[in-house]
Amino acid sequence: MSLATSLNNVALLSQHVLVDNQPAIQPRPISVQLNASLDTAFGDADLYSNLQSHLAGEARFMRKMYANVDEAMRYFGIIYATRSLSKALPQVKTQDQPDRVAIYEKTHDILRPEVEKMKEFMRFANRACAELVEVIKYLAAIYNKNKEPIVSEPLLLSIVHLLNGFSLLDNMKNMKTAWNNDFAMYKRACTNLKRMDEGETMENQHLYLFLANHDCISTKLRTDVVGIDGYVEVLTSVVNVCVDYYEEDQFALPDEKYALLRAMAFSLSMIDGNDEKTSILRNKRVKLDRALKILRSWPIIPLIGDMQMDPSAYMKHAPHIERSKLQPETEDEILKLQTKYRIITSLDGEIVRFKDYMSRFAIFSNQVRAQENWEPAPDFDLLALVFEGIKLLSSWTTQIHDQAAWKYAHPVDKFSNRNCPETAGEYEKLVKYNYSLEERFALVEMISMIKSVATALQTVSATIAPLIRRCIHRELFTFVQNTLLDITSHSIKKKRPSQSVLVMIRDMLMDAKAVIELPDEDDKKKKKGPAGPSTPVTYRACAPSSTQLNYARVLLESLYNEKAAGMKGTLMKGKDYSSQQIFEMMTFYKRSFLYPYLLDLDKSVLACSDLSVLWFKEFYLEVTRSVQFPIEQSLPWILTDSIIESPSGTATEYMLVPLDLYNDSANSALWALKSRYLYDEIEAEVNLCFDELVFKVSEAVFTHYKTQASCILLDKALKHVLVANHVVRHLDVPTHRFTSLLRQKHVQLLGRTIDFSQLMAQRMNRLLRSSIEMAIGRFEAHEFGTGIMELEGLLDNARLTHNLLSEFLPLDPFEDMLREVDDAVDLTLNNGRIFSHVVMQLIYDFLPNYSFSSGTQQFVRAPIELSQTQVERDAMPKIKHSLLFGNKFVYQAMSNVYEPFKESIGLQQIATIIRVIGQDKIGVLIDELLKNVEVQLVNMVCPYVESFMRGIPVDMKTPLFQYGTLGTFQYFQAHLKPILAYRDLKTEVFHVFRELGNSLIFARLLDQSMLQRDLFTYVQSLPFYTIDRSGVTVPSTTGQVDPTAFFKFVTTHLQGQPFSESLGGRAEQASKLNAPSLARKSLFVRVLERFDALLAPVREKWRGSRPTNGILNIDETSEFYRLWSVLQFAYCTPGAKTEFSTQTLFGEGLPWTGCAIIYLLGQRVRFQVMDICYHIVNVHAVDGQVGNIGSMNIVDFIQEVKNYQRLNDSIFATLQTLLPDRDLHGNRYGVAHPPLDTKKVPTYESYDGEHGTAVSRKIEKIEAGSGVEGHDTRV
Amino acid sequence: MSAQATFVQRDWENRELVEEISSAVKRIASFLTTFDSSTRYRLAALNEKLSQLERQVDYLDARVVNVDAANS
Repeated sequence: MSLATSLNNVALLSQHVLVDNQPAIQPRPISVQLNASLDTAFGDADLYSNLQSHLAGEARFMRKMYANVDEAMRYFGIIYATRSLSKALPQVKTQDQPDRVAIYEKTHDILRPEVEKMKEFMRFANRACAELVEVIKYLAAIYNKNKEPIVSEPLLLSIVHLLNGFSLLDNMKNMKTAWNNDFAMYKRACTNLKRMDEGETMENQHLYLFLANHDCISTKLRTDVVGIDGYVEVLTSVVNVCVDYYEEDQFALPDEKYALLRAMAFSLSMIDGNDEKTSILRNKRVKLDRALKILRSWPIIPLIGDMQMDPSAYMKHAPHIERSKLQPETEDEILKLQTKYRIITSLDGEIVRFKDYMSRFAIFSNQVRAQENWEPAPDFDLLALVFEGIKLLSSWTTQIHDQAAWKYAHPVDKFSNRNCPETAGEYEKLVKYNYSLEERFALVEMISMIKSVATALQTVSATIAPLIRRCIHRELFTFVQNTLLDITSHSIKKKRPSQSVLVMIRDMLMDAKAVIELPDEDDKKKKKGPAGPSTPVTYRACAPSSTQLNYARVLLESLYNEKAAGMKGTLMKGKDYSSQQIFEMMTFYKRSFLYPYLLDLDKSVLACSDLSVLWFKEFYLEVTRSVQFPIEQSLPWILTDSIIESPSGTATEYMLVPLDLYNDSANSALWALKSRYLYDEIEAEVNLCFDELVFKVSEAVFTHYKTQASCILLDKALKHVLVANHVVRHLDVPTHRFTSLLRQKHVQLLGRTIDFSQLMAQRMNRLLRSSIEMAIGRFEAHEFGTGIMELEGLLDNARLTHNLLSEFLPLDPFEDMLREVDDAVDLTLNNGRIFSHVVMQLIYDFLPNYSFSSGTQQFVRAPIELSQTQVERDAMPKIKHSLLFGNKFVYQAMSNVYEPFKESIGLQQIATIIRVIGQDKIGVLIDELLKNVEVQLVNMVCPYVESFMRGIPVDMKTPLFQYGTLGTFQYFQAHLKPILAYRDLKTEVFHVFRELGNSLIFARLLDQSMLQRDLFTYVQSLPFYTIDRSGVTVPSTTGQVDPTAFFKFVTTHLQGQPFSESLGGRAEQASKLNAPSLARKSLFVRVLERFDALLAPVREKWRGSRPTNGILNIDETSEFYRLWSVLQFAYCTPGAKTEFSTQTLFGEGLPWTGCAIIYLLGQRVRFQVMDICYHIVNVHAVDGQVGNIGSMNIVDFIQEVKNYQRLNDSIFATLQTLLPDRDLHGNRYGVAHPPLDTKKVPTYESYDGEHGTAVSRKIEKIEAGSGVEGHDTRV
Repeated sequence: MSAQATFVQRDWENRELVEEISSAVKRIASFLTTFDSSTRYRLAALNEKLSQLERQVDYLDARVVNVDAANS
């Protein structure tokens, strides 16, 4: 495959649509990191060596210097990450110890590789010092030769970087003691083993001194340098370069800023001599005041991680610079510095800069990504835009480093932070209690800004790399073609000495593709002056090599440097260049400083956005002799935790940002510090943190959505009232923004990809189940009335929470979860926990212990519980607000809502039961209810009825009216004395009848509720069935598809398909099945019918004997209604004033049982006519007697009977409406035939309603026989 | 054109070629990073659906486990 084809294929990659709908709230994960640096690092210096030989020499120096800088930084990392091995090794306690030699040998073997490393370090330090001295010597020679030489700035900068490296190493070596301890132990082992030869002993002695003495590298350098003639001039230039670069902001990376400061302080300390003659104060060339001012403004400079340094410490070697001048003196000054080091003071301004930059960059990157081969407009400064991003990153990262250094240098105490306990550890005082909440959030915001800009730059880095190179090429050759051509032509014309340098620069940069002609090729053209390109030039997507650029810059600077010959005009002769040309040269020089950073954009961005130092804590681990600090003291976790715990929730979307610090730290541990165990520790901490994060976030998310669901479900007006009346403090919808977080499907952490969304979904599934479990648990523990209402509320809440969360997370279906927790998964079982508890409560608590009142349509708990079975409820589960309604405020509000339902059960709760257990379970519920009715009827009611029947005196005839009210009452009382005196009558017997009656009333209310519900559903579903409100099917309108017709149509077009034939038929069936039933059968009627059927075994017996008179038994007591009259007499007779009334104790369940049985036995009319209580009332209506019988007032009795009479009538009326055919069903009444023959005495045929048809036929026969049209008369 | 100029010119051309290839490799790396993210997103979505289905099947299994026994 040719290169062109390959490149074309690469270009095609951009056409792939790569979907990733995950909101970007985490810094861009880098799966494939490519470090493609084409920096030649002076490897191609020979190509240009014939142009200017001194440049090649300088290039060699610079190459060495930068190699040493890299080596120094490597050792810097190694020393920082080294942990003392000696702590882990056993010590020899006494010289008599038998295993003494073995211990020493092992110690020696283990520590030897470490000691070798130390020795290598020492050798490196000596070598690097020597090489630096060599460079200083070289430069000093130049200074000695020429008083005002032009020294190349890049070479001075390399010295700056090496001095910085030495400074770092010295400070690190002074503070870290791991190597000292290890070496001391090694030395002891060697001495005891007597294994060292002379050479090794000598080297060990050197190493011992090297490690033990503070600042030994700088001391050595100082000693070596001071011997060089002219070193002061060289170092003065170094200081001046540092000052100029710092003041002109000529640095891009955070480390470069600190390098300038450190090298400045270090060089100053070396320039100052001990005596007056060599005093720095006599040095006129050094920019001392400016340097001191800069150093004074930065009294603390970060070193690495938890270490920092004080640059003024160098001044102890500079007797003429007062150290105190570099340190803040007054309180005011300290306060100012503190403010400067704090991020929070500058944050607002930085946010504005961030927003401004991001908006500009977004426009640019959108254009780049939208158009293939996009080219910037001529007036668009791409390089400036990208470099601005790097500078912003660098400035923010520096601010974070500065703040961290300040915090490490100023631990907090209990006076400055009252949350800081006295027992707090040293590291806690530096980190955990040192950042206030506002500072933590400011830090998070700053980190987020850094990561956002870095991500923006990294995302387009590959796309804009050729653009950047083309821009650089264009700038370079615009300068060469215009300014340089101009100056060169002028110089050649005027025969200026600078012409050779100018031509050299031109030759060095020469690219025939972009440059059309050379001024020195054709004299004619030279005379004409610079000519513009005759054909359009093309610019390459290729920048000059680092050597090329470096040389060109050095040469260019030598032209316009104020010390240059061409810049020293005389009275007769002006400067070689016009001020405009000088300005252009300077501009290009400064501008070209940016090129290296832009050419390796990825590396620059990584260096500027690396915040790994916020995690490292090796120094304090060594100082405090700790193995590791707990994660609560680790800054990334502190920041993450602050966001999770923040009640406002505004920073929720930043949650993953602090975790990226671990990515930085791990990267740094592996590549910069090269430490496996540091990486392992970071990994372990990340594992712990992430588990903690997932746990805490899942709790927070669940609580948030639960609360939100509660706030949606809670009535708005009620909410207002509750808050206004201070019942609850607030019921606000929480403001956390979890949506982006919940959509994170691939979070990158330490190179691992985590599906955060799935983790959340797993936990939400679990929490929702726990929430349902809690709801059911509370229902099982609660009073039934409140329990069922709260259960529905909690289930609704959980359902809505599920709905809200399902938008972002793949959750299990709610109904499945509910069935699972309800233990109702198995299809073969139709009762879950909720259903079983409802049935249990109904049968064992509700029906026996509640009394009904039709006035309020409510059941209330009877004051005395007569039930034999005590229902034991489970213990109430411990309240956990997040599983209930989200928070305690909503819980309080909801408790207020459910409070009224505590004492009573009415239609509302019954409707709730239907909703909670589902309409499909009502049949089973009724079945259970009827089973209970049957049990009660057979086991309790029948035996009682039978024994009472026997107990009713046979001679109890209805007394004559003349007895009067009192007399009649007393007559009955006397006759019924044995029954009335029965001990269990008013407890057991009434209780049994009440329970039966409650069952019927409950079924009736259930029916009412279902009717309401069905009607509601029906009315709502009418439009879908093309039925109007009157129930008439209307023709389908346009747009509405009749499903049956549709499927029939489909069938005809799918002939031959296996399923097609049955499709139309099935659609028709489905349509019929699902269509709303217009003729609804009442549930209560079915219950009554079943109740009626249950009475079948006793029907015959309770009907009593046939009337002896053939028509009606008047004084017979064998019929059920007679018994009920007796019982009614008993419960209408008021008891003592202290007793509860029958109404209170048993409610209306009692008369309901009696009336229902009477009605179903067809004895309603007889009961109404011949009831003994009604008889007394009738007598009283006529005679109006009043008076007391014993302690009872007869009027109270009359009133009670009247009340019950009204109630009985209404019950009969209800039953008559529902089951009209049962009214006289099975009634035994006589048929008085009309006289067939006037001579004959009329005969009476007994009529049995149940065999009515047969008897009618018999009558018809008689009528047919007589030939007379007969008619029957019913009594 | 002098030998020096020829060298420089050739260096420019060589570097341009290297830059072009390097730029292409960078684009491939960048593409791979985006592709990785996108693939992980799609795989996560697929995994999400599959595990949901798996759970659903488990649930249905549990629901019908006793049906055969009840019918027989």
